[in-house]
Amino acid sequence: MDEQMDASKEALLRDIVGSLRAPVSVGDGAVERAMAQLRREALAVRRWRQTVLTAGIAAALVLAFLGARRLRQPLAPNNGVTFALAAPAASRVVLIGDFNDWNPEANPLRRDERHWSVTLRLKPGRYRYSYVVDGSSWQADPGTPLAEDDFGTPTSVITVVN
Amino acid sequence: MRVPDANLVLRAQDGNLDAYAELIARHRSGLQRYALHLLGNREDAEEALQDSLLRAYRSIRRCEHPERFRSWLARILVNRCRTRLSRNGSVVRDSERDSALDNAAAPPATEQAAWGEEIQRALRVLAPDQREAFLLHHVEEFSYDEMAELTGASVPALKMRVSRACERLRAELREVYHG
Repeated sequence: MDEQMDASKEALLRDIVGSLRAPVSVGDGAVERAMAQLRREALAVRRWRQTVLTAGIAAALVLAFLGARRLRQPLAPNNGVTFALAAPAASRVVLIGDFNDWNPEANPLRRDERHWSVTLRLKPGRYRYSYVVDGSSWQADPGTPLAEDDFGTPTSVITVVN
Repeated sequence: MRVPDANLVLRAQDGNLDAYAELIARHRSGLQRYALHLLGNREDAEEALQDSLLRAYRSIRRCEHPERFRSWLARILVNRCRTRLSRNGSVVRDSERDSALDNAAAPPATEQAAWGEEIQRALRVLAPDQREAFLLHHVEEFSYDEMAELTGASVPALKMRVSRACERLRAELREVYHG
């Protein structure tokens, strides 16, 4: 009798479970909506990454360009900038530039064996300058970039930093 | 050859949404069934399911045991369903349940449909924690250890809930059962 009752209970439970295990269609839309939203988010993330990557590359290029310019344009500390020129045959070399109002008397260079040099204390800034050899020959500094010059004379540029 | 869940989870963790879609395709029927039978109405079941799928993908890197993805996903759904039940006061909306189940059960033979409705009525009588344990164990076939992990309840407590749920369902359905 007990066994019969147990079997009946088991059969009832089996039928309940069997019915509940039947597939349901409820939720199909929810799955589709969730996947669609995730795809939109993934696309947005991909676009954002591309934007960041593009911006990063652009920034890197700009920095590289600026860095290259800074490399080409020597930076000098303002505790003394030495201007030097190799001119073994010259008898007089003077330094003229923005820092001395292009005055040929202000900063003559001193000879040291084959080189001519002078050290100036300059405030931070960007200066154009040139050497005048033997009173008539203008020479740009071979160690620094050329500056644009309105008169077509060889002129160099240097930037002094703190 | 079927790719194991764990491999798909690892791909999904690398941002492969197609791998995640495949995982969901494998497990969606159980998730849909659980949400509908636990919550008892289409609207809440769909919202809980959608919310779970979104949360699962967004936090899939926290799935520490890819080989147990099904349990991990079920835990998220169980929690979302609990939240819905607590928000709704665990009241099942009868009209919605009826219309949902009209469309949900297959095939809708008359006698079968009536039996299905009786089962839903009986499920509704169960306390939510009993209904949860019964569905997870008997319908979705999780082991008690897995259930303990995904519900946070102890194995003895879960066994008791399942046992009480079975007794209550039998008591509710004995009169209408013609098996």
